[in-house]
Amino acid sequence: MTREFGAGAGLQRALQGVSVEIRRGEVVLVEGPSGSGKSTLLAILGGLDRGFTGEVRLFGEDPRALSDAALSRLRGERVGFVFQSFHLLGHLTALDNVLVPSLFARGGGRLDAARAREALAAVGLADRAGAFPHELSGGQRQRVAIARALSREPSLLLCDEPTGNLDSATGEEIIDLFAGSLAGGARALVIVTHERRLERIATRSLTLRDGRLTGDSQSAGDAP
Amino acid sequence: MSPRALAALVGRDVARTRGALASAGAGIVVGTAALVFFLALGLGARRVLLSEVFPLDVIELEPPRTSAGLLALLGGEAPIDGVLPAVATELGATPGAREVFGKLRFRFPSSARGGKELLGRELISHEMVGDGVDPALIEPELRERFQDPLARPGEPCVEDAACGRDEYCERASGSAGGRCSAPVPGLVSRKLVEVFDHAVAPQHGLPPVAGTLLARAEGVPFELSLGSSMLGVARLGAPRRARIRVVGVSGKAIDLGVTLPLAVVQRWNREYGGEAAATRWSSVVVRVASPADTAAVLAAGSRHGLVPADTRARDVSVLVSGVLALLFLVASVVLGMAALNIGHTFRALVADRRHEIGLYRAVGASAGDIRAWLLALAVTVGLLGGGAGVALAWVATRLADARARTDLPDFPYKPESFFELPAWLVALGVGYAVLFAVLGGLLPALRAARTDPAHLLGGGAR
Repeated sequence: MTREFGAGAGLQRALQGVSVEIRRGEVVLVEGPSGSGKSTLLAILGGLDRGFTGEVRLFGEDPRALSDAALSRLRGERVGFVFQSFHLLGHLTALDNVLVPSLFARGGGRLDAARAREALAAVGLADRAGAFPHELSGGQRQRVAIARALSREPSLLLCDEPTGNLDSATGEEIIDLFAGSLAGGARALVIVTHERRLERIATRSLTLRDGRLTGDSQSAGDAP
Repeated sequence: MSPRALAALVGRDVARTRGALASAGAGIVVGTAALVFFLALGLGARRVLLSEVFPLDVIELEPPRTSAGLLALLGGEAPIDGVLPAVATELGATPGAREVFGKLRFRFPSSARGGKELLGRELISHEMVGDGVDPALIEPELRERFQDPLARPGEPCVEDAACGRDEYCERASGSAGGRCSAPVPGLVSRKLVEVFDHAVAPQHGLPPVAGTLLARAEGVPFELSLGSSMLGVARLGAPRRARIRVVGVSGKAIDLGVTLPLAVVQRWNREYGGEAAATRWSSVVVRVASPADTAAVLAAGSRHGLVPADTRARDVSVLVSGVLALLFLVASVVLGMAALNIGHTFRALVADRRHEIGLYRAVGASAGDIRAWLLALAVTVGLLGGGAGVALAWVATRLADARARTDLPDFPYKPESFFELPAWLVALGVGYAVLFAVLGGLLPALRAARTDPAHLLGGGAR
């Protein structure tokens, strides 16, 4: 896949001829310096960006061939996102933040409060369901964000610098959470990071430089 | 997105952004209040003017007025002009015409005296005009009392003394005998009574008559001199007296004079003006299904050389419609400015919530969901602002009516309420508010739906 922004003299190639396949059960680290195309790759893998050239299959579907509604539904049901800045909604409690994806879910994909509480309990925040984001620590906020991402049991979890805004100890806790979130190999994790610590759960590492895939290696992480 | 989820999103927005939304909706409140208040005032004015003062569903057509009519009244040899019954029948077949009634003016001179029971002193009118109308044209509550008394003739007589109390001998000039008759029922114009009660009576220290006329079911007696007046005597017949009894006030009565049952005037016109004076209608009254049908009836009348007897209804209707349109335009301008304000607020809101919108997109919201969310928020602002505007307008109408009752002097046709606030106007006010709120929120909603959620990645920037 190739992704370009701008035109003419301002043309910027964020990705150039990158070819990659992510399989279930993999924990893939995407590394590279700033501006190497990591976030662009994540956006394309998550169906957020359809402006690429080349061929992309997301769960067997061509994102460009899907309507916006169909792609949004696919994203809501099968893809989870964890962001560096958490992106929790400040006016909602932790519980309501976990319930946000269900606002846009169709049919049986809606989440009830009981399941949202279970998701919070799974990240160790059972007793903080009623807390607002400003009442939580950075680590707790990221845990709420992970509970939100995992609440609908996605097949693909995309994480963008998930420990980037956390101290070392909290970062370790988050990494442990990821290690425990692989759903017995039914889920794939793609983690964009600069953190070497995450290598302990990774099964594969991709390296990007100037939009090109310069490294793709298997590693022996703790993950199954 | 389900309606429940949409309601939850909008409910949260209203709660957390109430200050900005209230500020954005303030213009909608003012605009809607102005719209509803002005239109309610216009409708109130239209109701009074076009249903009581100048009814618009009734058209009176007559031949063009000439000096020949005066000549005929005075017994000259001028031909009797008028509308042939066949023409009236033809007018009744015009699309939109519901009913047609012939009307006959007095075609003889007459004068009147009476009214002592009503006014405390006798009034004399040296010149009395009057007309006859079909009782079917009169308001239903008056119809029963408004019948030709000779429809049930009394005993034969030659003078009043031979008749019972309250009766008189109705004996046509030249005939050997007549029949005892109850006084002929008469109606006076609502306009005349309104002007008398609110303008003439206060100036001359006389009591208002409307209440008395309505209260006294047995009527107020007058004596009519037939065939002679200050202007002269009739060409045919001999002057004599008849009794009339004013039994009510009607919007269908002649403006200045007295209106009697058609059969009575036909009889008297025949006696004093000949056969043509009794069979050619002075004018015809056409009742139309709706004011929109008047044009066709006027055109049909024009083909027979007939002109409307009174164009004030049309003039007033055009005037009221013009004023209403102007007020509607003013209110629309206010609402348009409110829509711009809402657009500004929503643009700021969308910019402020770029991350939130991106997050919604990332977790499964489609562009349509984002559009629906923001448009539903705009609809909510419109509904709340419109509802508040209608409530404000209603309060303003009550206050204005209360002030008018105490502060405005009595005047003809002064209504109980100057306003009319039908359900459709409430719906229009709220609907218009929603429309303008949606127009204001539309572009920001479309822009929000195009928000690229990928900006959330890379720590907020690509």
